[in-house]
Amino acid sequence: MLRGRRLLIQTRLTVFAVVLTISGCARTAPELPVDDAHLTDSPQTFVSEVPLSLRKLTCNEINREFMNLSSHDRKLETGIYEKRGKNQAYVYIAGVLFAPAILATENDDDVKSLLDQNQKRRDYLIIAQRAKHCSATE
Amino acid sequence: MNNRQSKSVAVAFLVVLALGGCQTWSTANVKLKTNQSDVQTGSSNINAAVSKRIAADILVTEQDIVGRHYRVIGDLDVTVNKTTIFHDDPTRAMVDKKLQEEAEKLGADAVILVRYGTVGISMMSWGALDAKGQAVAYTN
Repeated sequence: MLRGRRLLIQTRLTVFAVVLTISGCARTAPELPVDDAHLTDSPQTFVSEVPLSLRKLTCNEINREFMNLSSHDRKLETGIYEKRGKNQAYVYIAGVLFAPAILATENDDDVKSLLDQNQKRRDYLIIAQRAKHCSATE
Repeated sequence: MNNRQSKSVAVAFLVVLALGGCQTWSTANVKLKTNQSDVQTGSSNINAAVSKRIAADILVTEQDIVGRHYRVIGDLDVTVNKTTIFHDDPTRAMVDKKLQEEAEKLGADAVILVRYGTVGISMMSWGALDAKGQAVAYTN
């Protein structure tokens, strides 16, 4: 009887831990560019990685695109933050009272994927900006 | 101390922690660059004077710095966590401040290519926000 109860508790904790890792989780910051050579004086080798649509942009258009990306990121993050209180409440309830409550959390994987794509686009713009010798940011 | 008393103490402790104490705690991981070469001229500049810039004056930007030479000191990876479920979520301003503090220790002038995560529950915290960036020092 005691062993059965222990097994039940262990199973619940395992399920809880697994679901916790996929529910309402923090999205980690994307990795930094792997090779500093991206930032060298002769980035032509890496410009070929940049999509043609971004390579054609002028310096002013690149700066404008940076602002558009920041604005888009803010909108996407606002949606995630609005669900934070609800997610925390569900996880707390799941841990203390009723484990299936964890299923009510929202992880927003699609939104997080869009944020990662925006960061990738930002990295391409930086390569293009350097290749064009655009003016200083400060 | 019996069971009821232990629970009361534990609840009281959590209430005190929620209402007072530190709102956040943070961690940082620094990966120094071994090849300390000037980015734009290709010349070695290992013995350049360490900048005395204070944390508040260190630029933190998501972009690169063009038109000015710098050398990369290292990669920074910082995380700010909220202490309990009742505290406010960490913000980008808090993370930027942590980046500046770590950059100051390295003698950096700026933190560039900063990218942020999104606040959410982590294994160690009810709310964690991390960011990565490169600490650089100007050479001209």
